[in-house]
Amino acid sequence: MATAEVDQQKKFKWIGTRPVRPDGLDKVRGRANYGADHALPGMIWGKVLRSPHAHARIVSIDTSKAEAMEGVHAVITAADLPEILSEESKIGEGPTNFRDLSHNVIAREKALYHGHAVAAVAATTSAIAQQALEAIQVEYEVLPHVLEGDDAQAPDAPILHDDLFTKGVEPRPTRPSNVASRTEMGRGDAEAGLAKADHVITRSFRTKAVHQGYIEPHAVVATLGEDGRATVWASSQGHFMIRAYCAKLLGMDQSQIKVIPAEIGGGFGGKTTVYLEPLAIALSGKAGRPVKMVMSREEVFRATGPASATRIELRMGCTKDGKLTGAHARLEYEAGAFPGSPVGAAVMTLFAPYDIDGCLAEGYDIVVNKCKVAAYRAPGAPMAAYAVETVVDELAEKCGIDPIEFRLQNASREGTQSAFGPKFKRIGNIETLEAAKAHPHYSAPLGPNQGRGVASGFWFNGGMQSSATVQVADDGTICVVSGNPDIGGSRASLAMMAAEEFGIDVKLVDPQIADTSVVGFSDLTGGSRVTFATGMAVVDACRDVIRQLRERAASIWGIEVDAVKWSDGAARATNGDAGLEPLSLRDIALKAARTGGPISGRASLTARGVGMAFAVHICDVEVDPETGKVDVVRYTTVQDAGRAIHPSYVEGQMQGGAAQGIGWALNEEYIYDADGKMENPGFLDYRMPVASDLPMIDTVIVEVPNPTHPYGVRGVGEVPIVPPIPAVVNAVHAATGVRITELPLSPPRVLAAMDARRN
Amino acid sequence: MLRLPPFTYHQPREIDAALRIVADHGPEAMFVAGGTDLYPNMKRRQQVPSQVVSLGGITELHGISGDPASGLRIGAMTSLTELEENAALAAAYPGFAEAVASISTPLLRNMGSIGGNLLLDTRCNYYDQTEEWREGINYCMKCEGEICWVAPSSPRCWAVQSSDSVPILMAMGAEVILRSPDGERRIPLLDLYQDDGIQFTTKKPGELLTALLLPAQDGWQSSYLKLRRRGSFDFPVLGVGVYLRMDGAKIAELRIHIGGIGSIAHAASDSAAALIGTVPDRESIRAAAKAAFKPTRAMDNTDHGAAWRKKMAPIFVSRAIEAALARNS
Repeated sequence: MATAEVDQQKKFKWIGTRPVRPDGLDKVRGRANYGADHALPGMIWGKVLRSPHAHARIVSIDTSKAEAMEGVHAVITAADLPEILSEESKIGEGPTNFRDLSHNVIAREKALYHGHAVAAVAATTSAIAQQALEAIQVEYEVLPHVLEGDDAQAPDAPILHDDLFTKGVEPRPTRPSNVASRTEMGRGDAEAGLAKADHVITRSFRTKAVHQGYIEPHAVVATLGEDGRATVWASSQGHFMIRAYCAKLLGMDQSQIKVIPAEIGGGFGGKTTVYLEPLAIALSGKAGRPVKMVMSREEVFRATGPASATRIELRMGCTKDGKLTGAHARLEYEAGAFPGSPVGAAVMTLFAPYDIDGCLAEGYDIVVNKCKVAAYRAPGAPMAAYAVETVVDELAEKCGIDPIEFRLQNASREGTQSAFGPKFKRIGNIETLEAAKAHPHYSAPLGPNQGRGVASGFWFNGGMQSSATVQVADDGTICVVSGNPDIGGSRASLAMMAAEEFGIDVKLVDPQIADTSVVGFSDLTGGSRVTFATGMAVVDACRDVIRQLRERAASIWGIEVDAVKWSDGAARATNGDAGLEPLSLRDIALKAARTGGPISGRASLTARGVGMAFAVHICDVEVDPETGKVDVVRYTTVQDAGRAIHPSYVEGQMQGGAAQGIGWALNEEYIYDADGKMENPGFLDYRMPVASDLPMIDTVIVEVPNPTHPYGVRGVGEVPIVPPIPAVVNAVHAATGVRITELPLSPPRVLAAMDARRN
Repeated sequence: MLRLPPFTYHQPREIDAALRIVADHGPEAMFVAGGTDLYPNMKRRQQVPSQVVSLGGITELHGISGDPASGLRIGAMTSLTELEENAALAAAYPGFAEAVASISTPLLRNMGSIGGNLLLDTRCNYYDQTEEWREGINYCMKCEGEICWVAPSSPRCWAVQSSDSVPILMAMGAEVILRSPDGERRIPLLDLYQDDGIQFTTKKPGELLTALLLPAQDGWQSSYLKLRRRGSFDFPVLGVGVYLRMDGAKIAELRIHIGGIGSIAHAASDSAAALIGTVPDRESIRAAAKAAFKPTRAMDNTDHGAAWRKKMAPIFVSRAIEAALARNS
């Protein structure tokens, strides 16, 4: 359902301002309750036993010694959870099959990666739980493993799943394969387009698995009573997702599970699925006590979901005056141990910034003996943008055209047929490119050994389902209740939209995130959707309340409701009842008991009219000619936010995405040994950028309002991680003359490329 | 989360009391200064002392005395932040100040002590892992295992000297005081360290490093240059300390030590010898620094590949010499 239209030119009182964030003080003062902060009387500690092999058949598990230990209350294996049939999930982020999810939560028959959960215990202390893990005897039959997507496609590769046949190819395969699926998307005739081109660039790219690096490890407290009802406290990007997944995996009804959201210490897509939660409920049921489980950082790295490692082959061509004519991409994305890489999203997004005569992208989803990937901020898009945006840079260079000018010449705009289906509606691609071109950074002089790169990025905006309730207290203050964990400032933006609707001070609005039993179903916090979609629900719920406030005022005044309007925080009589003093929200709230009882409104909707987002990043690097070390010395992000409800949060998203993307480009990678053991499972050795590695990241918010949102909102949170990799790589090329097609750009790799060029 | 193993925590107020506790418990006991090295190691079960003797409450171990003209005495428990913020120290011993400021992160420098940094455990990709991880490779020679996974046929451990302060202090000819129930001895740092990943110091069991002694500053210049991936947090994969004195335009004395690349911070003596008595210029420094390639035995057990780190050694030696010379002029 569409919310009532708004005047996009209207001047706002709160939208676009920067009030103090509602969650700020608690976080700064250490009062915020994160996943690991919850405790219950009688609570015991759960821990997970993990596979020391990358691929092994589980011959037997003997838990008797562990069960006999004093202080051990429960030991579970896959045998304690129901067998789940193959079924695609309708909720959550990315394709999820419930059987695979169940097998990822705890291995059944086979362990498919180093770190795969095989058993779990609950004991009075975590030290006893640790000892109990060591007492569990697992007999493994070690199987040959495969770690790389290339090797997984070889004819003699070890097969992870005997029942996995490649989907999307004709004829239907008769032999199982590690290639889970093939998808394709495009428009026009890619080969004909390439044939028309004067310049064709063909390149192959590789990227490594990288982790979201959220600070808060996965944590849960769960209690399952004798009545079969469970309560779960967990930090996640969607407590309704946890409820649905746990119900499915444990054979429970959703009404038997209540999930209470904790404050979340970062997710970036990595907390859009379950790992510990079903185990904690099962352990609690067996132990008869509440069970707490908290992952170590090593477990987070080894056994949660990083972004895919990828291999991309790309051909793109243009005429000599710089018109893109054709493009073809083959994208191979590692999914980890179970199907479900974000290659589908990559296939949809990679050519989106451009209007190309003919383009085709083929995506392959490949299973390997590594942990199952999860969503990571614009899932799948940064690696695809690495390929496309560096090749576009090379084509622009071949044509002798400025790289932003080249992008402008080929930019998708309103009415352009997208490769993924619909024609673009109002989008800000061109406005964003123009703003980047006009920015002083783009024309600033460069020093020795420095170079400048630019890159564009595109990402969707999720719609999906959201709910909100709005309650009026008798002092005239407002509580806005939603069902979306706040990972990017949604409490602030929802409160500000409510304040704008009511025409009251934002300080009078208290935004709350409610548990699964309090507020209507809400899809998870992901897809840059909450301020957009849940914002629509809040606006609708506010308007429901305003309608009631007008009715109450009409009844107090004894006039028709049509003769009452709401503006600037008060009901006002229109036409001819001029003698009636306006009734403020507080006046009406005070009289609520005598005019019909408490006032509250609600809305539940499936959001339509998503606002897709474009970004352009400008990056200056300095490359040490002797060591190959790349320093990012200046960085500017330009992004169409539709309308920035709280600009500080929007800027924070832009800077955060850039920082993560720079880390991905320069240093971050999962390093495995030959046995499939991750060698760098900690923040010291998995090298995310720290403050000293980044310049101040400048932000320019472009506002091309989304015409279908009441306040013009577009998705904001994900697109800023799409351009950084190619922006950095293009800058390194500008500084050194080398084009590096494999991540990360560590100093030895950059130096080797420079040496090869010098020789 | 990783948890500490159980242990008894002692908080003596006097050095003698601390020495007595360690003497009474033998190898079961360990001193702890800032705890930024020992406690993570204990969480990973690389060290599991049942008795931990805190040095934090011993006032005698804190603080700086003396002056640069005659030499400084720095108590072992003096925090790295305190050293970093000491302007007089930075003016007199810039290379040492640079090294201290480059250690880990500001938060860890608040806790970490100079004594702890001098005795920082050697590091290795196969050693600095959780117990579960190390169990998966049957441990290694340095802790509970038989084999050095870096060089499986090697009879020795190749864990890496990773303290930033050590290379420059060795170049400076700094000394330390070691105290035991039998008395005190004062030894140069050159004699404190030895080239082995396990027995990397000559400190005897039960001995306590109580103070660091910096030499008198009469016309010396210094620099420390650290190679690591990030601008903070990371241990060095190469750390070059340079200490030199000029005689007019000529280099009168020059000492160079290279850390982060072997089990000891080796002296780059050939590079130094080639420059002593000469008027240095860019070309001669580069030429001399090439000899620094030899003493560096890089192995593939830290961040970045061994070949690249070895290649970087002469470059960093040149740059460190140039930095010290630039300070002199």
